[in-house]
Amino acid sequence: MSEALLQVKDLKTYFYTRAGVVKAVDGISFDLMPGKTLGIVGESGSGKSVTMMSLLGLIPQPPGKIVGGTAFFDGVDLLTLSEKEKRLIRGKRISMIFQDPMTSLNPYLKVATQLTEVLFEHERITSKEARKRAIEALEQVGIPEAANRIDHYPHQFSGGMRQRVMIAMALIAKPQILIADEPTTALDVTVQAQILELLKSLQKDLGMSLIIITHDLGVVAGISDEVLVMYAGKLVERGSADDIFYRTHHPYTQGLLKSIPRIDNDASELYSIPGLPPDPSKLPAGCPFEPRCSVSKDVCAQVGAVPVQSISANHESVCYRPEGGA
Amino acid sequence: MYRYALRRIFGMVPVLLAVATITFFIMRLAPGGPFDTDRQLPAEVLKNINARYHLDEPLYMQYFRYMGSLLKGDLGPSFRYASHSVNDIISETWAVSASLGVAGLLYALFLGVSSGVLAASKPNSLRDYIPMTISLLGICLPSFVIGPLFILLFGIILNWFNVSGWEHPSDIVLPAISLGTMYAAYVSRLTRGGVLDVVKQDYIRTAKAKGLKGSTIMLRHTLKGGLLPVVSFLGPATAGILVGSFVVETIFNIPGLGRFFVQSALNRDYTLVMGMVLLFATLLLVLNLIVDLIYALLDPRVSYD
Amino acid sequence: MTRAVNISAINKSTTPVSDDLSVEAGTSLWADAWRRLLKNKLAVVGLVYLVFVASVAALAPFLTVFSYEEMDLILGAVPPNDTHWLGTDDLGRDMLTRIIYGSRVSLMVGILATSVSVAIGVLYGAVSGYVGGRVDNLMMRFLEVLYALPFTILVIIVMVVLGRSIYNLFIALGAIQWMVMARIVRGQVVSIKKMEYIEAARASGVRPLAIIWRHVIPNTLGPVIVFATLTVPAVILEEAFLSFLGLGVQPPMSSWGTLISDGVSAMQAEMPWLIVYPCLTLMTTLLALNFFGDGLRDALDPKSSKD
Repeated sequence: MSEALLQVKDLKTYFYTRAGVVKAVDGISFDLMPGKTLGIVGESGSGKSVTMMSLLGLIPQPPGKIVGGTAFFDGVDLLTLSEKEKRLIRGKRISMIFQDPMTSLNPYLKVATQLTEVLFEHERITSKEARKRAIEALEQVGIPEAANRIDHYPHQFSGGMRQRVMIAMALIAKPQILIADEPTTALDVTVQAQILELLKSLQKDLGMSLIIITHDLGVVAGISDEVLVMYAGKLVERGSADDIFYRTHHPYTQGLLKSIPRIDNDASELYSIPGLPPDPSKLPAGCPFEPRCSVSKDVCAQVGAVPVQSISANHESVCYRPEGGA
Repeated sequence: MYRYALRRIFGMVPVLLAVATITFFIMRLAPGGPFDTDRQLPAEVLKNINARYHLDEPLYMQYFRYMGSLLKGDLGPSFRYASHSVNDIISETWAVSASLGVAGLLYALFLGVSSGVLAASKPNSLRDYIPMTISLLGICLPSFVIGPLFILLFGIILNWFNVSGWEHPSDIVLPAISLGTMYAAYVSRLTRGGVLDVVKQDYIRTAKAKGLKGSTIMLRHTLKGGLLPVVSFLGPATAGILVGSFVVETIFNIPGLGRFFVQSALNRDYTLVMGMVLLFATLLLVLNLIVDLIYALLDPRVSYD
Repeated sequence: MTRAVNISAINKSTTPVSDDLSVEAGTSLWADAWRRLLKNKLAVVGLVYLVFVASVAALAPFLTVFSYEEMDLILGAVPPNDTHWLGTDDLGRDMLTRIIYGSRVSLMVGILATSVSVAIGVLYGAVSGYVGGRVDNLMMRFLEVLYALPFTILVIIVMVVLGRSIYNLFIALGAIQWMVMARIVRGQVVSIKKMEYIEAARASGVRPLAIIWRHVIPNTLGPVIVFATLTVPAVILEEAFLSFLGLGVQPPMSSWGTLISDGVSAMQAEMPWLIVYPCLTLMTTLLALNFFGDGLRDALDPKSSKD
């Protein structure tokens, strides 16, 4: 088996606020293989974005603090790098795109500037060459008339186009990993599919790894090789896409699956997991999902780490429930 | 955008006409005339003077006469300074006031923007509290308070500067500082607020995620949006500096427009007052147009068509 | 056009207001605001100082030993000592007394002129905003013409024309500030107009004037109060400015502005106390007003953009 490109072990990021300690990420581990897609799924507040931003050092250090864990990328622990070293990686070897393309692009600068500055920062390149690469990047993501539109401002693009511009910006320096944080959430449903298609094809063309963060299992379905389900800062289930969708084990994952509206479903009401996500500063002592779990037992509420069950070779579930059944 | 600018310029004309008319009638309808003060002039002399300046004609005739000469660019004779016309007085003094005003404005911008950026670079730290507290004081230090205090300190006690006059190049320093300090304070707070607002924005997070250097982010991304409130403020700021010059020129005995304006207001020198009012109005309208255009240049989302 | 400057943005407070993370059972808006205000230490200090200054001003006749206009030409100007805590001016008048009586004038002008501007501005803005259409356009156009000149120049003209009495001063100052108030109120009214309870009132047949009085105006109170509080120091400053130039308060009455002006002419003769104390008094009062106004604004609208 080839060596993992990114190996995260037991990452813990806490926020120290006046309301108490918020354990946004509490012991997440995963491996990312070259050329593969990892999908991270969870409700808002589950810690998915914070995990990724911790890797890139984008968490404001007060009040946040990475209290533990390692993240090995190409032999180096990202979490121990200096700010200068982190900067060399951002945008060049690991890139990130964000949820809302409307606010994530600088409205006062031309698209050309925002694209070429990545190159100027990370490579020695002439402005002519940089502009050429920028136009190519825009063409690659499917912007028509790239040579003209490159001198436009973000507000002159539609939502889907802006997200494409963001993707172009992230890929222009040819990174090894692209992290997409809710890339389609702010977009129209029709555009969503296009963007996901685009990401998939770009990944293949560039041979890079992709991490997609989303709260929508449907988004993850067609595109991921491996899926990570998070809840309250902890991992609850991990496995291949098939494992998660066809051999679901954890009750939370099952709840998420049931919540996906289906066109062939006769039910009069849409299903949603009962209860609310927990207050991150006041987490339950035992299994964090227990208060909302329909199949919970007494043992689930007891203090202590929930055991990790190995369902199959690459499929884990953090649950007391024995494999295969109640 | 040129069409917009032209439209604005054309729009100024009715406003200026309205201003001229309003000022004219206000001044003429006031009790007392420009020659009522001081010595009691014999009736014959008074009658001659009034005739010479057409003050004995019906009001509407005076109005048309004035408007007529306005259109020819002639602001009329000064009532008080008999041998000079308003145009003369203005052309002799405007350069002084202009250089003072520009100096004050530049001082305000430099001090304000740099302290605001400093404060915003590390919010809620000493780097923030010290400039902001000083700027709070600055807001409460109008030119007629700071001017005398500075004169006391730097002019009399320390004797670094001349206390009045406009001969030595260094004579511009104290007046410019007195004029600009209050506005430096406002600019400082606006810059700090503007920069902090921008820094919270998502696109700064994107810039960081692209691995850009801190200085690049500040200069290219943050300042462009962050300084917009300062640009907007330039309009009221120039108006304020204009008005502030009245006081500063009086205190420091500077032969500028402002001092003449105050004098002519106190003396009821109709034509001089109105000439200057028109000048100020035009100046401000033009400056506001320039500010709006600059704003449109900086913020591509703003379109005036 | 984006030129209009948000006055409250200029006066942004730097004091962090502590977040109250626990949700309280519904208290009235005013009680909430009052609580928030009290937490802002600078605002409280400002308020206390203002109350102190106002009380001293109000009780002046009982507190002062000397008269503010009684001259002692033999004494002349003396620096601060035990009898005259802040010294005397060149006509032998006690400075402390003059400053205290000056505060009566300055504060009175500030409050009265602000009230005038509030009254006119709210009415003008509310009507313009509510009626809308051509009337609104016309009213706003008229305002624009007036805006073309800096307020001070207009005040100077008015003062020159109407004569330099103190009542004219109130009117002149108030008549200038109302324009800014009118703009703000109109903006508020325009957005309130779109709210549903206005629809409801209209649908039930309430007359427009009644709607304006009963629904629109109470809901604009927030920004109006805040702006009024911030207008007071602006007016006091204007008055000081005018008095300094000789166009404001006339002798024998004195305000802080005239005192500063007198102090300036005396400076050549090296009598710094004649200028330092009036300046300090003006400065501290303005500071207190600004602190309080900032705090009030933060208390009434915690969402207003802060650090």
